[in-house]
Amino acid sequence: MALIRYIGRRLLFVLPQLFGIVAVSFFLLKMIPGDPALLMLGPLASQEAINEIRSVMGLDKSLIEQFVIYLERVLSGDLGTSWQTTKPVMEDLLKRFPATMELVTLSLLFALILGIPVGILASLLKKSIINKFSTYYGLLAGSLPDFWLGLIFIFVFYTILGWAAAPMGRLDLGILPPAVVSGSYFIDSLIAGDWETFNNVVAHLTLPVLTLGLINAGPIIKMTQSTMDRLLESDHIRYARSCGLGEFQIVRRAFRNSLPSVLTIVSVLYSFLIGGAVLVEIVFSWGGAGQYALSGVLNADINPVMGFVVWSAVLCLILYLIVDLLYFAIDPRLRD
Amino acid sequence: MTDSISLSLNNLTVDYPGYKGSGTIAVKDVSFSIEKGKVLGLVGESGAGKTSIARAITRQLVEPGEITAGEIIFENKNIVSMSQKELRKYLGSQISLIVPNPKSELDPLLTIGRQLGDVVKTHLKLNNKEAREAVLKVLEAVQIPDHNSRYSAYPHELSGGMAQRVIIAMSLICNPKFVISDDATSGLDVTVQREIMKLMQNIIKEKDLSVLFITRDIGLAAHFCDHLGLLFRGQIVEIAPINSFFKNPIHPYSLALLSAFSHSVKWRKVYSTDPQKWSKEFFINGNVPDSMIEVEKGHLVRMIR
Amino acid sequence: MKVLYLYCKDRPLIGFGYFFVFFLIFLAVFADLIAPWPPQTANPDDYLQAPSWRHLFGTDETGMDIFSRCIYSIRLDLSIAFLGTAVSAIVGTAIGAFVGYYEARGRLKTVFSSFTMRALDVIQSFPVFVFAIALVAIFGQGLYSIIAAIAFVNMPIYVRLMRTQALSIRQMRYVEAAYLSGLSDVSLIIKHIVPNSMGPILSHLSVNVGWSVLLAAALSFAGAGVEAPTPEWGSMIAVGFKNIVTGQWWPSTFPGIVLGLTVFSFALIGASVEVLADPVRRRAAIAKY
Repeated sequence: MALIRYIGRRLLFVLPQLFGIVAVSFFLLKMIPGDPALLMLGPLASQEAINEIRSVMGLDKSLIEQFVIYLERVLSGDLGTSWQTTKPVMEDLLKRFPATMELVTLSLLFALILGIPVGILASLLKKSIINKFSTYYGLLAGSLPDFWLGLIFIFVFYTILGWAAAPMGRLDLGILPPAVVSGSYFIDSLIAGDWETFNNVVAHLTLPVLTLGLINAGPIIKMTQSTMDRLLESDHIRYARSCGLGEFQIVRRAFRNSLPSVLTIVSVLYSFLIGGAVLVEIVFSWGGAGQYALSGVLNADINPVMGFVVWSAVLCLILYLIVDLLYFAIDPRLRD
Repeated sequence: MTDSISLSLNNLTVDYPGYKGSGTIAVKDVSFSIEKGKVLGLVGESGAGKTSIARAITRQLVEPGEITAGEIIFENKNIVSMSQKELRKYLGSQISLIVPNPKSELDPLLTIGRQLGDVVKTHLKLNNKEAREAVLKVLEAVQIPDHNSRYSAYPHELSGGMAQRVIIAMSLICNPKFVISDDATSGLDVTVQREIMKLMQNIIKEKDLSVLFITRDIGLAAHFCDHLGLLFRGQIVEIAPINSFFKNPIHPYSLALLSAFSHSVKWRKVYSTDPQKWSKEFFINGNVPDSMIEVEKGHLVRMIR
Repeated sequence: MKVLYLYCKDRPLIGFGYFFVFFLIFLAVFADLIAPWPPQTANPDDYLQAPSWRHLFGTDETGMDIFSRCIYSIRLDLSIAFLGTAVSAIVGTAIGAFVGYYEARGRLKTVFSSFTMRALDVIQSFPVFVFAIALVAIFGQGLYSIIAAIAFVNMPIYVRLMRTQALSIRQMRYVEAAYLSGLSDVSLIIKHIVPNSMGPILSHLSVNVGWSVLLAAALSFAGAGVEAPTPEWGSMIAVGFKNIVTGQWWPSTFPGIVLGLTVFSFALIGASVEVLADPVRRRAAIAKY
């Protein structure tokens, strides 16, 4: 019961925000110079043809009217058509978002696997090298451009060493993608039990995941370390120590108490990376959603951009709901 | 002789090194011993070093505090020179600590039962079922009503008095020989305070515990202790058996404290400080001297003759 | 200054951060004297030369000298970052001061405050990068659009920082006294609220400059920032992108290293300012002396 109320409050807060996001992005993107009709038909089109297209696309109506029409369509699941791919945006995004999500999720998993142990150790061993290392790692990881690091990895591991797969998308050309279940090749090839495809998928994932993972491990390490530092000095951990509990128990309790903070930073990184992974997507020709939106912005193709914004807002919403559920599971104080 | 002593401190000094030059010496040259089954009260104003002593005994001093001299002997073993691993065997099982502000001392994310259970499982190597039984038993012993359902309660669901009982349960669950109570009843309502004190008194008698009872309330100590030590700026200024202390207090600080706590005018007069007594015997340039003098058997006062 | 020297003495890396930023500024100012080649002149005979004494960092596919271009980039990138940060800090601080000061003070003022905060929520829940690119696309590609975009996406942080400060400072006795003596809201904010809440803002500035350099480079890399022949780290990396697979690593690598070191230096400075701005931590950090 408390759970439902908790989520309800959250939704009440988020839905207007969702509306705000759609509204702001719609009006912003309407301000982008360039007439879509003109871009669609080319510079040689006649004025009549342009006018016709404009009225078909609803461009001759007032902004507010256009927005209302747009909202109605969005709510019915129609995100319009991209004139670049000439396909419905919904269809394009359904294909591309799984690619982005797969990349982002695996990268963050890697960042967590790397970041949490390092953060804990750095906090436990105050005077060790690992403590110094983690302090500067956080600063350095935040300073390196991820797209550049990706390029360096390509040069070292593909061009020179020949270990990694070619940075050209998610699969080698000759290999067919697995049957679509989730849209993530990683999961789908596992479901299909197709090991050849799976190996190829992993080979293509390695470098981009390494790139994003290493960069995003920085803030995770920093957050883990600072909350663990605070908790290891806290009253209840000191009391647990004076009850003679073993070091493992102590660390486990402190870590459990630092989970909410770690979760917060992960959710922030996640929502940032849904759009922020776009440069790494470009470097590895990933064909993800960010890339799709970017080419939309650069070519005055408004529907893909809007579709992307709506999608990522909804995904963030789902993400925050999941995070809330996890907070709820971790902290009994939220349950009343 | 040592057989009858549960715990003794010999010339214990605790220092909090400062960033510049010498730091703050929170505890200076403190010695006392507590006989088995006896209660020593340690009274002092805040900042006198009470909590530092409690934390020194459990070796849980807050950074950057450290024990710079002296020894703490428990059952013929020096706690100061123990390894962490050895120390851990004693803490919680032989020596346990009752702390103030119980709600911030319990892990907010774990149930009471789990936290108590962890302690027994660590020290007595019980399995889950045995641990659960032990926990329920001790919860009953500290008179927590409805202990079966409180077993799965979280700390934030308890009242202050109830949480204090849980802390007491935690300190008793492994049947320790020695208990330190550090200002255990501060922050509780007076009525709850009374209940808790009564509970502690019964348990101490029943289990024949040795206790170091640290408090700010000399009245509370009077009812509770066999011996009483008075701390002033990190040093013991007067320590005596309870009767001797109240009948014949000598140090001016003791007198001042007693008169401040006396409600009746008559007693206040008895204990009130005669300015004449603030003499060279007790203070040298505002500091207490290094020597202690035994005025009666077991009654020591920091003074020079 | 002495404090700073003592602090860096034990932490050579932080010292390096300060040194590197001054070094960059020096290079930027004297770029005309230091750079051995003109930054924008293609030299088809010398295309894709590996690093050598003649071309320290090599040349790109049109034969432009990468070392010289890296040096000239400092001017552009640092100006963009400094201006973008300055604009967002000034505007953000001003808005934040009013939002904080007005919060829960009369109906209209409260409406203003909460509306601004909700609007910030919306702005901040955008995918940052796509948002910045969209802004550049709207204003048209160019230097001022990039600065505006950077200023815009950074602004919410300053509003929030300042709001928190203003909320606590407005309760201080001296603010109440000033209010009772008849000072107007605007001069009260300028004279009392802003000067007394600069601490957290200052320590965020340095980190923010570094971050803005990164954002500017990223925008150019994506093709929504500075365009190709103009020397800029991000666009240089983009130009060298296609060469890297075939083994010519230098056109992308060197601008990336300089860019990374620049951002890192600002981050180091930011970390030290954070410590030094806090009297307690400052004392602890230079305790030995």
